Amino acid sequence: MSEDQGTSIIMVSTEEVPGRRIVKTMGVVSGSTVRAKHVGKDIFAGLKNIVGGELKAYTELLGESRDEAIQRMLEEAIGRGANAVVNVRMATSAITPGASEILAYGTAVVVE
Amino acid sequence: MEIWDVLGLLFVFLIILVIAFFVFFGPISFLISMIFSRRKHRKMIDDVMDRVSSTVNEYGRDPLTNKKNPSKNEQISEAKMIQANFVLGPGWWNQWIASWHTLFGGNISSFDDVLMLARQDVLQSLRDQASEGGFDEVVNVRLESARISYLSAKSSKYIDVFAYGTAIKYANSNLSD
Repeated sequence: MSEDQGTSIIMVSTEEVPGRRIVKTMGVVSGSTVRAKHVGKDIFAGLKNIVGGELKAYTELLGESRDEAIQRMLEEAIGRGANAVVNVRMATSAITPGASEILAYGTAVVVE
Repeated sequence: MEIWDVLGLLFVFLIILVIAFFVFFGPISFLISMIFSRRKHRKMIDDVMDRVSSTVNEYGRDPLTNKKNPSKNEQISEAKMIQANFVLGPGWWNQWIASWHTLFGGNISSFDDVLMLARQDVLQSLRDQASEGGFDEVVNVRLESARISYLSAKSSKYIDVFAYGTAIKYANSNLSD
């Protein structure tokens, strides 16, 4: 996750990159995505929910959405000339009854 | 004429089947949920706890902390963010019990179980990722949960539990990976 598509960009959830020194701060970067699964999987998940437990289709969907949001955040960071994103946070919000938004944000920095 | 009789009978039979399905589906599903859900969730929790104890044994301690800084003041060779999520369907039985509890209040122990299952599972996924990547420690671990809503308002019963943290590898790692 820290190194995506050949571009070496570090991503951490801590305030600093452990073991490196921050030389420049490039501001807050963010990425978000809104996704929905097709109806078939929705019905299948509904059936699995009778007994309860993990709904893998939704777990995968949200995992993919988070990866996408993170990817967009990293692209913004790369665009600003940063080589690391620190203090990354994730947020989920239900914007309508039909869809959820996944948001990833952090501070783009240049580390030594 | 005979063929139409047979077809007519088949048609009536089909309609009865469809009606029976809609009439009995709910009660039967509810019974299945009542009988099996608690047992299934306990078994899943036991499985996760076994995995947790085997990872803790492998490390000699729990590699996850929610402290901001690494526990050792040593040189760090690699740091990266890791994450895991788990979408939980609480099950019809739990939903029913929970709706009754809103009348009387109190602790819903079967709901506690499924939420604990989800939290332990995501934390264990972080431990697994740390162990696979040969990381020594995961710091700044955070847990979040949200109700998700995709396509239908019905699916907003599902709970997404999400955990993330920063995995750290020390320069002179004492893990043999």
